Amino acid sequence: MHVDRYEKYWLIAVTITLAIFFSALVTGAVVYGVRLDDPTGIVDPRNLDQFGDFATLGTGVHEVAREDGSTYTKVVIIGQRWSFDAGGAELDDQGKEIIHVPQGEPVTFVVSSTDIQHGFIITEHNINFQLLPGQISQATTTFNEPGEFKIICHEYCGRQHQGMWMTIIVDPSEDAESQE
Amino acid sequence: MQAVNTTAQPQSEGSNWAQILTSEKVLIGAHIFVAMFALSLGVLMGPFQAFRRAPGVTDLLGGQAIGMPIFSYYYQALTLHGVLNALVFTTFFIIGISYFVTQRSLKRQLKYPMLGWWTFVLMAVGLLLAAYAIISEQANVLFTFYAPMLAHWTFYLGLTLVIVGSWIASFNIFMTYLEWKDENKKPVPLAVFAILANFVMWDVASLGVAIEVLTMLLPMSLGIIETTDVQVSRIFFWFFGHPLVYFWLIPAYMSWYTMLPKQLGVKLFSDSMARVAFLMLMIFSIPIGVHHLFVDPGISVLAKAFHSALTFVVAVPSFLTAFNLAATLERGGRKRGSKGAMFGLDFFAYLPWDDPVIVSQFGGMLLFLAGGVTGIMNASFTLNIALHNTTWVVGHFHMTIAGAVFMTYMGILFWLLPVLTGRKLWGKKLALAHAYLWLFGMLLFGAAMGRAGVAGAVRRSDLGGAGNLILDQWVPWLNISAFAGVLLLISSVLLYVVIIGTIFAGEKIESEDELDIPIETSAPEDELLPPILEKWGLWLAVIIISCVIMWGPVLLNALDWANGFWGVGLPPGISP
Repeated sequence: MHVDRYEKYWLIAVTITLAIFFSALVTGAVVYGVRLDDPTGIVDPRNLDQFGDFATLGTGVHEVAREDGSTYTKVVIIGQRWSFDAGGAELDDQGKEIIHVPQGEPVTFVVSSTDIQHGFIITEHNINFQLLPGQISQATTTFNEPGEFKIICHEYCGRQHQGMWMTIIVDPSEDAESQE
Repeated sequence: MQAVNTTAQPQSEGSNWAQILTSEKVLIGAHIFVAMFALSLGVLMGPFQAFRRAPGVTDLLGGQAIGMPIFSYYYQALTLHGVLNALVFTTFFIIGISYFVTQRSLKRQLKYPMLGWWTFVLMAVGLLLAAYAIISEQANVLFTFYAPMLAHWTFYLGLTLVIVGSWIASFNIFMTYLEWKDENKKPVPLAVFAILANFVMWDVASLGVAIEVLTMLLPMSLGIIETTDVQVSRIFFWFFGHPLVYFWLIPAYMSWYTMLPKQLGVKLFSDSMARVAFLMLMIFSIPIGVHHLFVDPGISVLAKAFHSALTFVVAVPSFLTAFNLAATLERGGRKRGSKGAMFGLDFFAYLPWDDPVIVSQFGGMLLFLAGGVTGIMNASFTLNIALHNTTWVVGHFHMTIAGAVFMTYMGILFWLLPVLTGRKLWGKKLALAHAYLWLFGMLLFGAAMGRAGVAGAVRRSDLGGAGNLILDQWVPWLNISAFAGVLLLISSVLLYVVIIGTIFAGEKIESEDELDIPIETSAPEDELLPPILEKWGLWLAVIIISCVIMWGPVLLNALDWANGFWGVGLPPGISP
């Protein structure tokens, strides 16, 4: 089969381009630690409060101790039609949850659904889950800038889907405050 | 004269061929009619969704978000928009055009003409069942109908009938081809090659959604089973979901590869590399679907990485296509007086930019450049985390389905409609205005949705009814997407004016010789086309092996071995 000389050059250029793209992906994962969700096992969505962090910690923002004694922040949230349950410590005037997380420290999110599929995205940050009933989504990120962001359900979940969102406030760290 | 005619025709009797052409007009016409009717309703819903999501439009209306036309409910309109445009319009149009090209290109009737009609009836009944469920507000589940959200059983049964119909249609085409191949020991014309590749891929891929619907959603909607495994259902859906977009795209490629050269009066640069591209699309479109599931919790990182890597491979046939078509367009430009100025790029200016058949295809190609680039970004899981289910994704697939696919299909319609109606295209300038307006409007829409998505605007959300969710940084882009919606609405109206004008006011033709029907009836004889290209059994085996390797571990990993494969201890279905 005949392949034109210029088409061969083109194919080489395409292969190199795609190889560069893919090595950028690998770099993102290896060097910058971009991680996708890995399975943690199947749970019963109707009895979610008997599983893992949902049983031991419950929904809300928690300081959790590591093995070496240091602590980190773990946020446990349940998505259900048509709101997020983040412990209910603080609500805005529409009854939607508000949570606070620290700036500059790793924060782990553990989220699942008790009924149907939901979405979970934190605006301007690398946290994005497809929430499935029967599965637990988990990821860690660090909030570098203080400010107010939205957590929004991005998978259609029925009539009031558009109202399923909450607020996350990144409190400035003490170091940042003392600099001002 | 008579002698020339009979030698040019396959059946020994000219009258027989004339009968075939008459029945062809009715059968293909019925498919195209249903496709365009479904599209008219589906396409009307689109701009109003953009209006309702735009704060600027809500302000203009005094703070009240705009309602949907005909249907009161945003998600009902969104379901219609997706099902009618992406599932019904495409499937009916593709089967219609595939029959047409097969018959004309192989110069023989479908092997089972009556079966063609029964297939059509089956699919039409399916469409009516699904339409009943959606219109009566019993299927507000969007066109992805994710479990465990439940629609009325007629919705699933209707979609099943449409898919079974497409299988029978493919069987009819395969048998027609095999009969031709028996009599003609030579390579099949490229257009039919593309159709065969498309249906081989489609038949394998649609098994996924068939399993999902028949073992999970349909029984659950009938109350036979109570619960289902959501992760497994998503795996079956996206086994099908990615090749689905190639099922739409391959007929557009077929038009670019086989019809556009004839319309430009030149020869395709490389017929053999076109076949390689179609085979690659056929093989690599299925074992990469996990790139739709990058942020799913129940799929391993390893599987996500492999599917991500292989997704880059499926970009290769599109790059091959870009080269092959650019070289062919250059021939078209040189034929029209291009001298190779501006580093050889001036051929672009010499192409016929005043012919709606051709401009629609160019528009599709240009939008597909944007669709391809954004697609590579979606496939990069590091970017996907930021983009999944944002309006970016909507911007991306409007470049492909509403860009490359829709515009090219309209390019086909502008020459096919005269064949079917026996009337010349009416309102050529309006058709041209439709194409340019659509190209510009869709580019603007895609850019605006993309920017809003990067700022975190979510898709599939009735933002007009979301209270004070809309963030400041989304507002300009949501407003621009609504403005693009105005352009696209005008463009759609122009399209239907041209269609109705052609049917009722088009200049009648005496014979088909007055029309340009861009169908090639033989493969080029000056190019070596190795027989291995048409070893469909071999390629099918390659597809099955690659699917087992790429999807097998994903499925086995997700199955709930402890509680039965799927269904036990998992969420019950819920009506939205």
